[in-house]
Amino acid sequence: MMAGRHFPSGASVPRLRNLPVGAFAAPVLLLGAWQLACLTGLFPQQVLVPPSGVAKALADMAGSGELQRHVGDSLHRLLVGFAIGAVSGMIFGAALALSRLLDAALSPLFLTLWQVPVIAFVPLMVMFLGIDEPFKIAVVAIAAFFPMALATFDGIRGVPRNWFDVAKIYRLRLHQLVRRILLPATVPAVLTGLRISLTRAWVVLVAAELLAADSGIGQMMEMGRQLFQIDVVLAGVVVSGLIGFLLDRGARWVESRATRWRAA
Amino acid sequence: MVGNTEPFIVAYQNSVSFLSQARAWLAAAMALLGCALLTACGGSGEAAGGGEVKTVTIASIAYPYQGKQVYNGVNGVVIEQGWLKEQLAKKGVDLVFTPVSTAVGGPLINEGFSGKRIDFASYGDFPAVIAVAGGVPLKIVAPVGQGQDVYIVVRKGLAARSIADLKGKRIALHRGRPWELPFSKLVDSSGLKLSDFKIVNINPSATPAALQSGSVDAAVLLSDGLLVEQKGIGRVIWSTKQASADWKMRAELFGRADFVDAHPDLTQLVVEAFVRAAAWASDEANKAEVIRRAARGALPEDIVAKDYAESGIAWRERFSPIFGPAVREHYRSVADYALERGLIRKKVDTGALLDERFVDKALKDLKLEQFWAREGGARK
Repeated sequence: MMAGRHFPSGASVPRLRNLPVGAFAAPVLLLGAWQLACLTGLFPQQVLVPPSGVAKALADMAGSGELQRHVGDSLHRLLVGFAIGAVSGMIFGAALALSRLLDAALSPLFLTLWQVPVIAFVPLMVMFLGIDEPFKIAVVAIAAFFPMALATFDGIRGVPRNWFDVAKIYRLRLHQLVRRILLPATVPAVLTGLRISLTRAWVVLVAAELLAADSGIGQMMEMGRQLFQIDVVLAGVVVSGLIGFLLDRGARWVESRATRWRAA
Repeated sequence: MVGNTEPFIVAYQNSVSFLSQARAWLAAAMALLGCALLTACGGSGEAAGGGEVKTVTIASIAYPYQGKQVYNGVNGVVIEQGWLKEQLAKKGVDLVFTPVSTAVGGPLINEGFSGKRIDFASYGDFPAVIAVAGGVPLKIVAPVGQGQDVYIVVRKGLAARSIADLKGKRIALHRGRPWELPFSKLVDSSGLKLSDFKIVNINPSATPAALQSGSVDAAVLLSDGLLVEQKGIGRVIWSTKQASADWKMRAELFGRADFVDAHPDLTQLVVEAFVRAAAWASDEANKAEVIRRAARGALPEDIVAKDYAESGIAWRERFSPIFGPAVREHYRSVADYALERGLIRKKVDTGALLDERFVDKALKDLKLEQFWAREGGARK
């Protein structure tokens, strides 16, 4: 009963530890080129900010607590929005997978909306939700909803039909069916969905903060741009990339643990 | 310092193979780096080659109107007169006007200046000071007016009568734009702090909708604030007309310092074109036409007329290119204030910012030395 066979994407385990040294060559080279370009003095330091300048901006902002405030605001939005989006996505995906009727009625609309970039909904959302927290949480929730619903749908649909027949023979009740068959069989797919929707929600949140916000990592970058502080912009690039990376790594770790538990 | 950053950034860049968004960010960073490198080389090549200039690029705020870009103020007249294009063509140089929407404004122009993609821009005081403080040397080669008024508008249904009533309220203010400074001065002079308000950083084009939907309680705007009032979306509770004359935001024709120094002949032509255009616009006979143009695409004519009429500036002086003492004083105050408030991080030498020689020569050549009032301020 190896789930990995049915859900190849769910079986992917962290690969970083297997990375050859060569994988570090490109970033190191880029960093070197960056620093070198700065050393030529062709451009003022404020325009082509050296890596050390970005580090200093980060240290300054961390020292004043500004960085923590922005990161904290962003992560709070991510957490709340993701919880709402992921749970409702899971329920929606499960409902679609279990009911042929709902599937027929809602799938085309769902698949159409899924193709629309979340950012395209921003003007509408601002009109209905304003530009405060509800708007940003809604952006995150929508971004998380779609991949989550899709993953859950695929996960449940991937459960072989004859397992349901077995359940019928054993006269399992619905909650037993969910707990003993559906849940274990779909865990890898759902976890993959969680990971994808988490990182996707993060990207969309940062983008939404660039457009309209009074705080958050995206807003920090936008302010940096408006006040021509390129070091702050690049610091934001580093921080949001790093947070996205860590979110992904964390989710992968959970995924691999859960898959191991399943296999055992 | 570099040693500390390396693992940090290496870790970040490593995420590329795992995360699509990290890839996007990296691409953006690389594009930035690439652009900077390219333009650095391009820029130095131009300087070393003694100035093989193919085009002169002027950026200006413009509005889309009937499928075309309509340029703000004197810029539009320069284009219409066609004199500059002719003169530059005689030297084998192309003239390019780059439109910049008011939604992005100064920050985009600053990026253009720093990448040496534009040579001149007529834009606001504060973004230009931000650029200079950010390591992009600029020069004011010609003033293009006597300042614009800034308005504070509150949304319909809000009872606020003064800035003090707005304490704790949400105020739309596009950061780093010229109207931030008069607002900041008002906040200071009322004994308040910026943190007493919830500042929402949205651009002026998005602001009327935000006011209408109640997403913000008030907004800081230019003359579009009058339009908001006329449409019944809001009510003006304060404007720089109630403050001393130097609170108005100013806009000038700024030149990239290295371009101006390397090509004084081309700069002279550009400045002369702006002085010619200003002289045309300052003629009372062309007043109706100037207002019609200013209104085109952006605001109704009566709004522009109202804004002009109540500004306390005589028509003749409205587009004056004269470097009065008020100009110097204004930039000193803008630079000091921005530094004091932590909006810029380096002191700006305002003495080096003003470059009066081109206007002086143009006035002499055009025999316009007596056309505009000489003393600063040039108030009615």
